[in-house]
Amino acid sequence: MRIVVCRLDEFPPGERRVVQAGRRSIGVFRVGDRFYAINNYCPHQGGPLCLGRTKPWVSSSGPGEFVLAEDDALVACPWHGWEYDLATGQSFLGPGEPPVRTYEVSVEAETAAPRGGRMPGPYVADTFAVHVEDAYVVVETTPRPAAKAPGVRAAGGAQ
Amino acid sequence: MTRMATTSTLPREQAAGPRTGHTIVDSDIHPHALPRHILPRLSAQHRRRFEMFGSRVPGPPEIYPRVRNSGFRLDSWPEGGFPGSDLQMTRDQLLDEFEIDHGVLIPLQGHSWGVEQPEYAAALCGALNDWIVEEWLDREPRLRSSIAVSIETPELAAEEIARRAGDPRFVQVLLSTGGESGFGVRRYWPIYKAAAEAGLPIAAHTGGLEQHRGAGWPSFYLEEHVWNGNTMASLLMSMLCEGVFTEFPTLQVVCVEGGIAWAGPLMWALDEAWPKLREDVPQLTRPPSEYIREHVWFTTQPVEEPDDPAHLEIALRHIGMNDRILFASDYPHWDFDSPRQAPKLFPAALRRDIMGSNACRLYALPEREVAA
Ligand code: FES
Repeated sequence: MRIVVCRLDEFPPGERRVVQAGRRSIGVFRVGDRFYAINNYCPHQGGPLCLGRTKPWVSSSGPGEFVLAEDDALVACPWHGWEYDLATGQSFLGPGEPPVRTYEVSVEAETAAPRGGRMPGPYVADTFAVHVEDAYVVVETTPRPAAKAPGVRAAGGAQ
Repeated sequence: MTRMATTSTLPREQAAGPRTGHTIVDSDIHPHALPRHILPRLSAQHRRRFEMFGSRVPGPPEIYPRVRNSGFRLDSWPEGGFPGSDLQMTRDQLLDEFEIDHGVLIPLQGHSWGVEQPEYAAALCGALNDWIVEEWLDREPRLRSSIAVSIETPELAAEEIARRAGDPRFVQVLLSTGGESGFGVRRYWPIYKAAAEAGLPIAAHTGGLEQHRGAGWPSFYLEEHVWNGNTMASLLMSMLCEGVFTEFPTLQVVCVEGGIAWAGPLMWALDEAWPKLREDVPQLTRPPSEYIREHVWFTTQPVEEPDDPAHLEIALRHIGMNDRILFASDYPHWDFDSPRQAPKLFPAALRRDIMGSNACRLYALPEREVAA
């Protein structure tokens, strides 16, 4: 299904729109000139993910020093703060190192590479393709293949 | 801080499910009064004090460098308000969203306001209770509340209990786990006497004047957050050993937001040591675990969540108090448990009781009628 979100010139960078696609609620984010669309349902406890704050990757070489990547790449769920990559829906939890209980994740899969010093979590939120058509922003709701996360059941489709 | 003006409701696909057959009671919902709610409900003298000096201990969330969003769900900030200050938002995000039959309010401001100069403390708690009646209970029949009392002046607290006890919508008396003394000591007994006479349980909620103390103050929120069970255990031990349950044989204590799994080992240790030391505590004529099993209730948020859920089931079996566990969401705090997901934490056979039936029994609330 293709859903027209709004006109491009009504959707400035840094904004978001939450659209209804049949029974699904989808958040469309504009970060700079890129668009992302992600299911408005947090795989953790079902929070309205797309009402959360977006944030950039941050890296730090030591106390008091940090560098923020330029663009927001993550959305943090408004309930318990779990973070997801806007592009892939991959979850990133935890304070930086893999918690003991997820060691299996990092062992099993080559794709479990740390990003920004943080280990991918086991959850993946649905994301959707977004493109601009004749100056309208359009979401394509045909499920994309889930981001390859280790030890994760297929994440697309119905929850 | 950017505050989302949007009201959060879950995506429709998730919310459209059929009504579950059983009753849902949420035993831990936090309303939060703003100064504009309290001021008009104070006498001129106390109003002036509130305007000039505020209160001695800041209430949540200022007490800690907490997790994001001051420790609240980001989507729970109403326009121009504070999480928990807006009844309609609580309806939208909690009561309606999850089809909650009954919700019990726990106004945490009572924890810090209950320790002020005696008359001022009593006035603040009284104003808080008035606000709850007028702005919450009168307008929303699904809600019940806890009586906020000036805990460090137990006589005044007892007066407030007596004043509210005639209103059946107040279903318990609010106590914090952190007081100036252990809560078993005699000076607090007027609170228990008034509660027992009114037939009301005491709800001990973590926090308060002494926060989440062992020795000293924690440096980190993580320390505070997972220490709840230990402060709860020390409160119960104090009440038990000082003889509160002997003196008030009908008194019930609800441990709110203190976890559950610690209760088994505590009872093992007490029962093992009691036969040897019982001369020291002649007020305890039976094994300590018997008092705990007769007087104590628990709420679920934050229940301990081991990697293997079977371990929680084993802990619950050792405790043997599954008929005294009440579901709690802790809305609007950041560690909110969704009533849709929480039942999965518990063995299937316990879900109906934990999600509602136990609370209906404790608080004398009607159970949902299910069409045959
Ligand atoms: S529901 Fe999203 S982080 Fe918990």
